[in-house]
Amino acid sequence: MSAARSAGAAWRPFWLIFPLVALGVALVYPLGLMAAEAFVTPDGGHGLAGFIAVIGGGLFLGALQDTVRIALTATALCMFLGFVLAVLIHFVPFVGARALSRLIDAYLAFPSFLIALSLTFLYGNAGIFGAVGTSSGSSFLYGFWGVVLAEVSYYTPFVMRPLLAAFDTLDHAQLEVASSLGETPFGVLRRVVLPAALPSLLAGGSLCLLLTINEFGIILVMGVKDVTTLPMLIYGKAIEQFDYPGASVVALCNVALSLSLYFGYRRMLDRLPA
Amino acid sequence: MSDPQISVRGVSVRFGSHVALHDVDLDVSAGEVAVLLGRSGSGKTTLLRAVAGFTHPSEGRVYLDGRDVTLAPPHARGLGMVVQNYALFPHMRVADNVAFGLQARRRSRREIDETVPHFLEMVGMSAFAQRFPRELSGGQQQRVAIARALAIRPHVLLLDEPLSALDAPLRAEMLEELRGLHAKLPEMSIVYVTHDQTEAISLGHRIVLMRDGRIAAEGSPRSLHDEPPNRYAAEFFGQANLLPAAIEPGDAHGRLVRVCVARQVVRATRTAASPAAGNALLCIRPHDLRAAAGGGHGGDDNRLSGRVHSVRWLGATQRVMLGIDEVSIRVDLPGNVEAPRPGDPLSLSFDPERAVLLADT
Amino acid sequence: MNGLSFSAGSRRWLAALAGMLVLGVFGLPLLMLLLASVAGRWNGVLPSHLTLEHLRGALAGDERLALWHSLATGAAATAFALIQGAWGAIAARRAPARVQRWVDAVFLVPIAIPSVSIGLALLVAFSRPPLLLNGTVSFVILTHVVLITAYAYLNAKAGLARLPPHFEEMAGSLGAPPHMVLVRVTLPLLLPHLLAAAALGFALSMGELGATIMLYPPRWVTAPVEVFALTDRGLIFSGAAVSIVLLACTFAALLLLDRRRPRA
Repeated sequence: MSAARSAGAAWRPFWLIFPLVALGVALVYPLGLMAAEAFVTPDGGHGLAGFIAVIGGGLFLGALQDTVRIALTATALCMFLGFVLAVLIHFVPFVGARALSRLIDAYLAFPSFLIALSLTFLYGNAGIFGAVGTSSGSSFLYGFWGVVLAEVSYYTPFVMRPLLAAFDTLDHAQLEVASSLGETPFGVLRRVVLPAALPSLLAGGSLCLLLTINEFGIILVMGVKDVTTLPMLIYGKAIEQFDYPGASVVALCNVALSLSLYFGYRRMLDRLPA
Repeated sequence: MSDPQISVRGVSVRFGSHVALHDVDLDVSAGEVAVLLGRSGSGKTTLLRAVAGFTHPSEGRVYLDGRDVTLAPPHARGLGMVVQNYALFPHMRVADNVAFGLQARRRSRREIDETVPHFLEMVGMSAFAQRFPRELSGGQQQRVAIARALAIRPHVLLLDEPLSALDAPLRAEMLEELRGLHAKLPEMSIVYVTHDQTEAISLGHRIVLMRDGRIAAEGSPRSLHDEPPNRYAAEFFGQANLLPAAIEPGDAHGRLVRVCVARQVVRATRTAASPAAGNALLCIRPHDLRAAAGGGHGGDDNRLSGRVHSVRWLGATQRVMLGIDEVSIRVDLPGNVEAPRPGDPLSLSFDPERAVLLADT
Repeated sequence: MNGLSFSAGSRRWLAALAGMLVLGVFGLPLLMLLLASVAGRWNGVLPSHLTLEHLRGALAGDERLALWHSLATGAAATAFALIQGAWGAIAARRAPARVQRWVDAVFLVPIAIPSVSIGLALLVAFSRPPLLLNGTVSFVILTHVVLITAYAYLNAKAGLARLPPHFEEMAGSLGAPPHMVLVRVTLPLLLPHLLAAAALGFALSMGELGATIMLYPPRWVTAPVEVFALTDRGLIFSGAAVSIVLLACTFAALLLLDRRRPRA
């Protein structure tokens, strides 16, 4: 950027008008209308009554609680599993480890709901473990832990990628000196590798938290009955009940939650060493 | 202690088809400073890493204090180690860096609190205990790295090019400090890897010159300099002149022999590394040659004559290139005498004790 | 020589653990999908009565149409998103830092918020005048453009930041006017990043479900919506078959774009 500035090329705001107008029409205008919709009262006027009724309702609070619980649990597990896997891939060279880390990149383009579908075949009533396990009642898959399992399977690579990048910049001489000072491999991991990779782990974790809060496809396709998340609630209100104002209230809260997480995440990214 | 502190027996290291170390033997006794000297790729770092446990020998054994540690992991060897870029832990303060090894050994809080200041003081870094590594200069970081390695009270300290990231004046200063440090810990053995012969000469009790994964020469700095065992050692130290020479027939025994160099006959010293007869190399240092005055009397009768090619004044000395027949000789004359001019004839004399004969290989 | 000195024994053990974990977490789900797509019945541990019927079904009738809709939507949305994202990144490039932060924020909002909310917002906004789009194919495409423009913008911005600085200056000093520098120098140098953005955007569009399901018209069912509809009706093997074909199409497109990418 400093190079661009030193070139003396001037910024011409004129050219920014077109993309910003397009974004305004396609994104800002709809979001604004949705926000306005949230304050439409049942009689067609505007006011806080509908908003407060939804916010205070048990349905919303339950969904908020489920969303946060699922997201926090899945994120914690993703961070743990992601750290373990990234360490294994980076520090324990085995055949295909390089190809594997490239495969993980491709995995990120895989739609999330397919994980839900494939877990149905693994753990569902008709699946491999379903056949082995208890035949009584429905599988754990259609509740809290099923969603968490699917999200962990899908979002772990989002934690691994920044970690693998951080490990690549690690000075291996530090690890060697640490072990020459008498620290065991696991001690070196805990006392040298983990502190060095912590910023990347936290950045990956907060991205993971954001994405799990926003996750929709997995829960929809899995047909989960026991838990409802905010995106599911939005879908239910808008598509099944045609309650646009109610859906807009939930969506507005969800957007506020996600945006605050997202800008926190970007601030964290800015502090990462390049 | 009769056992050597470090004993390397027949160690080879292969990386795939590349042989990095070829059947090396090395003993370092307690209190000795052994310098592994060589160009990059000579195997000196591989040898150090085999001692430290980061490289596993394909063949051979490594003993520390008489104990076979060939397969022991690095953390079980109890060696101190200092590397080129210091490798201080960036997220720990100086004091925590120094305490690292003690904590890994589960030492008591009290012992750590006593030991860390002691070693920080030894390297003159007491005032910086609460700093982070990034707040220190290169020389300061190196002092902390040394204190960290010493804090575990190792019997052996391994130093891998510890000064190469520092600028020249600081390097000389740190070299002095390392000598002082060893005087304070006289029982500790040091293995010091470097490519710099000045460091090797000023620090080493013994220099191990390495080349292509083997030990090319080994001995005290003085003996390697004065009586190099082979051509490589002679060239590595101080740019010796190596002149093709033929041993005069009939001079089969005795310490001083007559040799023919460029159709002139001079006397030189025979060592254990010299051939018995026939062709040899006359090895003589540029500063062991003097301009011979006038006629040939007394000790000045051992002389070579030629024509001056070029003269370069270097301050304390002047480097004269002298052509004798086909060979050319480097001569360092004192800087305060009148310089010969290119094209002038010049006679050089030298003490036959300072010229040794090497095998011509 | 990688820093952690595990003993040879534990290294083997850890490598085995790594392999199993990776296969279990990432490999197994894909394998299940593949198995299910050829399963006739699945009552025991493994499916029985293996058949190609589901896969054949996925390439015919409504399923085939849905795949076509997804491919068309993905291609169109990727093209528009690329123009919009690259344009935005280039136009904001030399802006003051404060302006850039705001442009960033606006462009990146769709990454941050749930796709269902975006779907709802678009639904609320474009089901009423003055812009009545609900029920049209372009509405689905517009939705996908909104969702993936952020990634195009991010990639273009990253590419611009990594652009070797002297080429553009050199072109300018040789007398090229700004538009010529842009077309002949900047854009070609940016091409690898734009192709990467295209690959990612296309893949995301192909798999998009959250916003599409809020507003798709009945005559423009996309493949992910079709998968949901099939599994919701209990036709899970057909759903798996459509998923497999969807994945195959996505990866074929990714490979194609990857091959076009000039190597650094």
